[in-house]
Amino acid sequence: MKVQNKKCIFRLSLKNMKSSKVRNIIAVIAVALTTLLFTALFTIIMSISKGFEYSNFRQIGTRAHGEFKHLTEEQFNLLKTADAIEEYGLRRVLGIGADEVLIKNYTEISFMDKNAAEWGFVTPTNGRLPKENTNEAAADTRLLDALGVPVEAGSEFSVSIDVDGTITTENFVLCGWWEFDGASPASNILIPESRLEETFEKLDTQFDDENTGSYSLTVMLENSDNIEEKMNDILSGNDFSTDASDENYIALGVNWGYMSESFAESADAGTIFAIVVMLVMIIATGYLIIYNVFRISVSNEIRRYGMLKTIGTTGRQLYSMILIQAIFLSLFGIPLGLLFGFGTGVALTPVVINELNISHSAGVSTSPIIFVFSAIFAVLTVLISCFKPARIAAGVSPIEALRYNETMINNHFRKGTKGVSIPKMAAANLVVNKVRTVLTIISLSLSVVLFTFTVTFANSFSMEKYLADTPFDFQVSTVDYFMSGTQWEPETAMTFEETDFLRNTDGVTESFCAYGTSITNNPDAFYSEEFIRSHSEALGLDKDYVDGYISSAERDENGMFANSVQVLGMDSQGLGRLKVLEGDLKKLNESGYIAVEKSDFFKLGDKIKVRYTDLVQYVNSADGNIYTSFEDIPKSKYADIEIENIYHDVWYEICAVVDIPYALGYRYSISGDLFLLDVKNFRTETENIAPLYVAFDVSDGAEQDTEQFLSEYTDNSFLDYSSRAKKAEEFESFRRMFLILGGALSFIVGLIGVLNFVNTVLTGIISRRKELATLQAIGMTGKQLKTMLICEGLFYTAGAAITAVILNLLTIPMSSVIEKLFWFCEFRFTFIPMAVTIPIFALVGVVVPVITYAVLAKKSVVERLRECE
Amino acid sequence: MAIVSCEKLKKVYGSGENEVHALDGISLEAEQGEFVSIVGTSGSGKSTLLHMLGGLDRPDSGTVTIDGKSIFSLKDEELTIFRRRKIGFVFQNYNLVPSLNVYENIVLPVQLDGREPDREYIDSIIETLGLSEKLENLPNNLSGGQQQRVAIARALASKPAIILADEPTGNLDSKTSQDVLGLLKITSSKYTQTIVMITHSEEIAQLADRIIRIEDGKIALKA
Repeated sequence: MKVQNKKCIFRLSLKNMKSSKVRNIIAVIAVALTTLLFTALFTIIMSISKGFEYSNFRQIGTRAHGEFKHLTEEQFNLLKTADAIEEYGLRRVLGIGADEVLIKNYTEISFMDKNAAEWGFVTPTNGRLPKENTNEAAADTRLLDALGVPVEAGSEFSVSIDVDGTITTENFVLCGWWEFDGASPASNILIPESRLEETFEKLDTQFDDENTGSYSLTVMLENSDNIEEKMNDILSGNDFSTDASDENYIALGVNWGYMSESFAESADAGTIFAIVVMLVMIIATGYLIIYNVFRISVSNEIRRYGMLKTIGTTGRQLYSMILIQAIFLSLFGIPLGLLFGFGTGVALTPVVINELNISHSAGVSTSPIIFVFSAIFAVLTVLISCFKPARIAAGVSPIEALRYNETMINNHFRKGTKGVSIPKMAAANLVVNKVRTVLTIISLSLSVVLFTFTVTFANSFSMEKYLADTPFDFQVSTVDYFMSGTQWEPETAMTFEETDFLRNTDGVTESFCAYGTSITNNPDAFYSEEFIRSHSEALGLDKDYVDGYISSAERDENGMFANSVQVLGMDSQGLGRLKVLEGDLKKLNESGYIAVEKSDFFKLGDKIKVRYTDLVQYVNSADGNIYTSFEDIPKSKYADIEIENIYHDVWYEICAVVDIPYALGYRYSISGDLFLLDVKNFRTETENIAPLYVAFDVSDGAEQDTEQFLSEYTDNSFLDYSSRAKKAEEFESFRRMFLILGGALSFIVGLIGVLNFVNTVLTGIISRRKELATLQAIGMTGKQLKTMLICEGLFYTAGAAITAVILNLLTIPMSSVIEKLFWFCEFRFTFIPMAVTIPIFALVGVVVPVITYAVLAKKSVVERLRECE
Repeated sequence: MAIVSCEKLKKVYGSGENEVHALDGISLEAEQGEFVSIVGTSGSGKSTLLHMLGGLDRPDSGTVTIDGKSIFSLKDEELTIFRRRKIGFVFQNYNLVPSLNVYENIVLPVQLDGREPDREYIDSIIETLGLSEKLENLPNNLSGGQQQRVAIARALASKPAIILADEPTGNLDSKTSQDVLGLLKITSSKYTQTIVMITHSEEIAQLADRIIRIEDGKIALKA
């Protein structure tokens, strides 16, 4: 039999809701706070993701989906009309800067149309792009500053340009500029296309370099899925080949910023784990309150549900009635939560982004995913929380429901015939509603635990440990050296004039230098196959990959494998700053000795062989031709080229095992170990070394002046510096981030806990108003009653305090994990957050019953006794 | 001598059109050990009268004297304390505290007064009411008749001057009603308790020593 009763049930559930105003308000706030937590979390995650993506684009230099390279004008005009291309931009390169300043600030002089400039982050923020048929140009401010050009419209300047091998000096008038972006690979001077043609004509350019003057079509497709496939389709659709050996080949570039995908996909297991833990915690927090609110409300209205069942409502219908109510309340709560959650996310995102080495300019993400996911998780939490209460309502037996005067009590006995006291009565009431009591206490203690953990964690940050990694007042090197994601290169390293100048700056008390080789020119050391296998396994490398490597890698006469290692050269002052774990560093003074950073393979006293490359040679196996530079090799010969380096081997004895702090090494690592030589012995083996950095201490009181001096000295150059003060600031701001995030989370979770608490106490008093009236009738004074209710409130607080202490003590064994994860942590437990929060909860525990009772007491005992009948 | 008496009790609820004279100048008294039942239809004012006698509500005019004390001269808190010492209540819905067991419910009024229960006396009440086996039960584990017996025990526990029973058998079937009232009567005579009971049932009222009939807030007939 099928009956059309959905409407009736719907109406009934909404009508039913009207009678539980307090519950509705509390439930809406609970749902809103839960949604808030989800939304804030997702906003932060998505903003970080966006920041990462944006950082990639800036490093790449464009956010266009891709580029068709080296086109002729006809090819450009043909391809740009392809259907799959939503928008396109044009870029044509005139040449690269040839002045010393322009070489140092690698500069490209080119024409870009509006789209190409915008996608390439070079749209002038002041002024505009150059107009055709003028001698205007636009450039970035770093370049203009370096050239000494006043940054104002109409400034005239001239630069030398290498156009296809010919150097020409050109004059321009500045028409627009923008701030140089530190992450960007190059500086740019933008000129009109007319000027480009004019210059080619003037110089009678032969276009030997295919970059010169060719049309570069940058494109935006419909979306960023399968960019390469779509671009290949465009080419084959126009009868071009994607095979480099074909005559009609067109090269294309795909923006890997879209390929590598977002932070969300590249996130490591630890990050994903942290996010999952957060989500589970938020669901649990939401569950604790929403479940409790609905359970209490169902249990308080059990007679009504029993009555509805008596008159013919089925269990199923009662079940859906509860869910309909929950969904209806979510309709109010979730949008509120999304709104405030996004606001919270907007406020907190900069705090997080500042600590990550990513772009802030990407701003806060407004992706719809944030709201969709938050809403889904919120609905999920609400439903999970309401299933059980709905089942209780559905399973109610009409007879039993009518028997219960007030709340449902499942116990049947209570030990003891000693009588009662006021506190005992309060305790009895908590015991009789075990589930409610436990849920409320856990909910309340959760924020205390979180807050205590946050403060304990932040408190455990050891400045001493953190700065142990910075055994100097100041360190100066190139931007590449300091920036994560880039590597120091000898070609762009500091000069000896610069290091000498800095070492002799006023106030410097002691200084030292380290020297290095480029990543492409690293020496080799020799490892056993067994070690390489176990090491690769530990790194999680694919077995096939390792097999391939081992079968192809070079072996020496002992069957050992050559593997790139880093060698660091230091002067004696620098060596003196290192912590020696074993052996003696003084021996480095003599030749034939080397030190190693704590290694899994090399031990103190080992005799080892290091292979230094003297000359890189590219040999054409077909004709025997030798090239010393990769650029010299004709493209058509690539397939026949083999690398045959000229090298020499040096035998060393390991005289010491040392600890080399990150800040004193290369600041990037490779698979091989890090060795240490005295710089004078290093230099005898390879000429290809350059100053990695210079570091120095200054006399007391000179720190600020030096900081100021270095900040000016490194401004607008490829140099940057690090200082103990900067590190200390970094440390403080990192600690602050944890405090702010943890504090904000604890606060919201605390609000939820207090709300849960208030609801429990409030409903506990309201649903017992007849019982309380009876107590008064049989002789309980108002004062005694109030004392009893306050006792109940305080018992919840006490329960929460005890639970929090126990849970917090359970975190103590985690201290070693934390110290391992965060090397600068020294676990220091603190009870202060508990001492702060528990009294607040206790206050709530006193105030809520007192106020509720005061409201209740406005009606006389008789009125209250009657109204419940 | 009268243990309880009231004089010209008046109580008006509402005002204007809706004015209801719940009590319209009622005077009555009951002797020590007497079992008085007050009968009347619903809305006759019998419940209001009982609440006045118990000091739960204050009249517009008139006095109630219990054990020689004019109760409305007392302040609210004093009145509550007086009530727990001198008056025992038995309600239609038993109104036991659901979180306390039978024994704790029984001794509650005594302990609220800060006194130690007279164990021998309490035991004998429990014995008489047949509750010895149920002392550690929670009220929800008892039948209606059992709950009402606990309520009676609670009313007797503080050795009050008077027991006020408000439709004590209203929720019970007739057999159980007879049993419960029988017990009420036995215990009250055993401890020479005065009982004032209100009921709408003539049959139940017949068990009392004296029946007072109330109509429209006035005493209609003394039987």
